[in-house]
Amino acid sequence: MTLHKLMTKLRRSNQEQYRILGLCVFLSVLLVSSFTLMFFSPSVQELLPPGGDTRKLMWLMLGVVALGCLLFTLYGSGLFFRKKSREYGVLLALGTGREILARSLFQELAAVVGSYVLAGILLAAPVSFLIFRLFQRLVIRTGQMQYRLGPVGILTGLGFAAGLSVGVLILGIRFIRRTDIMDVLNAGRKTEMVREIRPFTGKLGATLVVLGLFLAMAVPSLTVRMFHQGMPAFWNATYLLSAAGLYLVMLSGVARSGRGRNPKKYYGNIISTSLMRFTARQTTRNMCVIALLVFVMVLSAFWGVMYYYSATESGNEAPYDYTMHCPARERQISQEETRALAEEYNVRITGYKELQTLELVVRYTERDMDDSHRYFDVEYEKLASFVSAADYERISGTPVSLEEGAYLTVTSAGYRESIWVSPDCLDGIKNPVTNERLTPVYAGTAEFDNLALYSDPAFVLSDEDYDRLAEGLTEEYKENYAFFCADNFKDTYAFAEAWKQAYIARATKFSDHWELYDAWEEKLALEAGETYSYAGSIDLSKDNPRLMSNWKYWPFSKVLMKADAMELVAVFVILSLYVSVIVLASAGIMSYVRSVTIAMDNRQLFLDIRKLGADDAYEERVIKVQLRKIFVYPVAAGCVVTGVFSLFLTYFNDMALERFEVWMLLMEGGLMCLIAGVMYAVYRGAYKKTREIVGIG
Amino acid sequence: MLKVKHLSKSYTSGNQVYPVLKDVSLEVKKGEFVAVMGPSGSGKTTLLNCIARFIPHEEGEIFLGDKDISHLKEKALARVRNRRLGFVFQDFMLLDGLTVFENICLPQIIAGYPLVQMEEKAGNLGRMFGIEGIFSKYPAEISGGERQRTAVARALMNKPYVILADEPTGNLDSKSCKAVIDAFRQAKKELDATIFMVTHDSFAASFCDRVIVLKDGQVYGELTGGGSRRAFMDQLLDTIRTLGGDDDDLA
Repeated sequence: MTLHKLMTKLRRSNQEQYRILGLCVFLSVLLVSSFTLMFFSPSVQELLPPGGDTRKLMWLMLGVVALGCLLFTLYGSGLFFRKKSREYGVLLALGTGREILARSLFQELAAVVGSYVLAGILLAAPVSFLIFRLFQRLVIRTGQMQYRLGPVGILTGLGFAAGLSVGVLILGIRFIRRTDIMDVLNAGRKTEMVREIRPFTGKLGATLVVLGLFLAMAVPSLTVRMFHQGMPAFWNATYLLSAAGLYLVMLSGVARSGRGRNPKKYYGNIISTSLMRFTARQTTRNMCVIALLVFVMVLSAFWGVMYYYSATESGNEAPYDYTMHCPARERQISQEETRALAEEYNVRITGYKELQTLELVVRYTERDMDDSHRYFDVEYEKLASFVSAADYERISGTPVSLEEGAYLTVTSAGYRESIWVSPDCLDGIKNPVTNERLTPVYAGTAEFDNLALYSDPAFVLSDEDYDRLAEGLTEEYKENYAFFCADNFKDTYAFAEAWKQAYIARATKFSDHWELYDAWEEKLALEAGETYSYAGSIDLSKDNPRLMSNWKYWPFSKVLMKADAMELVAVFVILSLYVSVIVLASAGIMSYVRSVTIAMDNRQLFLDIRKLGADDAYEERVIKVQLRKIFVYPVAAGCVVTGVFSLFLTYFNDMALERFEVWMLLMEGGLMCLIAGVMYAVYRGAYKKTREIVGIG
Repeated sequence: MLKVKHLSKSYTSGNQVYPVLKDVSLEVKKGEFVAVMGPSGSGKTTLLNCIARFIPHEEGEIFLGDKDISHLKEKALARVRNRRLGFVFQDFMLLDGLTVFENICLPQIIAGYPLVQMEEKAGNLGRMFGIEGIFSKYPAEISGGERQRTAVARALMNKPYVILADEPTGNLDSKSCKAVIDAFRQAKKELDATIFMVTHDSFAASFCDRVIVLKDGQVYGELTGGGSRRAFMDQLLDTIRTLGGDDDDLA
């Protein structure tokens, strides 16, 4: 027998350790690479608005997933080296050269990590494709969106795999460089006893969790409202209080024990508690990571569902099923043409109404924020749409009474005032051609979604003021609107598509503007010698995927809006759900591995307590108490933290909880139940395996 | 065979420095069976670990044969551990994935010695210590006494200058303890082995030629056997009692 053969035999006898390490590497690479393949797929990248919040959010999620998987693998590697240390220590003590052991270890690591990385990379593409198709079939129909592989996705996946391998390698180098042989020999049974945990630790932790979230989320919102001053970036460090609190809660759950008021429970759990105390630091850290993963998982699934819900609900409150608007100079499709097209598709149009609005210059006050997070009011000039009271009554069916000099601000249904702009923001109105002016008086809001969808915002004037300001106004400062309904509008998709295509085909340079383009702002910018950032053509081709979100004159149709909004959010929904699935898998595997490790480490103890008379039922209880802590504490903590986080986020956003938000929070509760159910299934699996390892039954 | 000169070692915890060995000097002659005894915390195991260079020491020299090993580099030290030292640990430190025979062969496998010679030697040692019948078994399948005799056989494989044994009987019942001590005595008698054993077990120590007593990290004294073993054991017990050892130290 040679040293090489001996090492091979040792490796074979310790297959379980290699398998756990390999599994961690494989899953991490598979999960992250399949996510990067999907995230960097050209189909997804084309749909994500550049520089938008959603893109940033997805980057954040990618970061969290990569970090979670990295921590998970390093944890698995830590276990591997811990198990390996005894064998390594004995060989060192017997005179094996460190360089020989190092060579052997790195060859083994290269073989294990390399083969599992390769397997993870190779499987990433089929797995991401299958999950994409599964979501497409079960969750959301993405129409034209096709699964496409991109080189960036593959390279990023490879980059992660390389980083992961380097991480494992660094741990290997640290392991091999340890000089104290006695430490190496005893590493496998080194205990991490923590100092006595005081009875208030858990309560202090819970308080810190809530306090940290409150300080980080509520205080900035309150200071903005009360003092017009946001908090500086470093204030986000208050989240660390929550992180510290979470650690204390977990530590208390793992290592706190005392006779207290329930001595029966104390003595009943004495073995399991003492077992956990011996690995308290490691277990607590592990549980904190799982709680973090649960937090990311719930939040990500919540976002996915929220996107989905918003898309299905979008436009529902609009009284008209169809709306189009265009500059008055544009010769768009007429009522007759629309009706003729509808007939072709057997669609019956009802309530067709037309409207002309005046595009007048408004001076208005808006709130802005400077670099030092100070909020200040600033006055701007731009164009806004104006409707006469009579026209408003005619199209909305809602009577209004407006005195001369007064105005109403048109809002969408359920409008809630934000800190940025108030509905009484108007300081002055001016006819841009005749310079006729009016200083109006705010008289309230008027709900009309079809108009609010387009103008930012629109206003209603008394008929007298309207006529006076309209005098002398040229065509370039007017817009035409058409509103109509269709019987069974949900079944009019084909007509809506044809109508949209006809509308786009008819659009000319008059309509070729970005969503935030404003002719008056452009004029002022040019006069001041500045560049106007919203100038330029939007590319009015039918195949432009960003037309809906970026075109100023996009035609509104409930049925198209739902389909297109769904198409647009599909990528967010899929990515969000994908992240939650990945994170759920990581959390499940991590909890499972931790449970199995406990059983493997304490096999002898279970034999010993059997000698003291413990039966199967007693040993089962010892296992269950430990596993419950490993599973229940992090899942519960993750869910509670997410719940509080979401509540603060929705409430402190506008200092109110709307019905929709309450419904979303309840739905988040449902998601938590679902995740708890999955984790329970993992717990059952871990329990079964643990029983096998310690030889129960 | 083994000479320790002015060895000092301390541990640091926070800002506090705790001296464990203070200027320890001792010598073990070839073929001698020497024990180190002393109360808990007297520095017995630290002394052994320093001699083996498992842990670093601050001052002093360690001679094995004529060679000072206290400043050897990693590679040379590995060679010394493999060919000049043999180790027996309290908890055996056998590799679970190897059979008894393979565990015994381990030092020669590491040294890369010829296989025929290695197998013959392992067979001889196994027969000497009565473990040839369990050669194909794995450590988990044999008793504590058998495991420790396997470890003694392993320690003798490369005919070391000195066997360093750290509480070799600590985990064993009295019968197994006797078997392990017999194995050491046999090695001394038949192979002229030199054994340096740390123990708190007066019974085990009473079989030695000489016992070095440590107290508070210093050599407190030496007791030499030669007469009746029973009388030597009583002498050891008295000494340990005088030093204020606890019940455990009087085992």
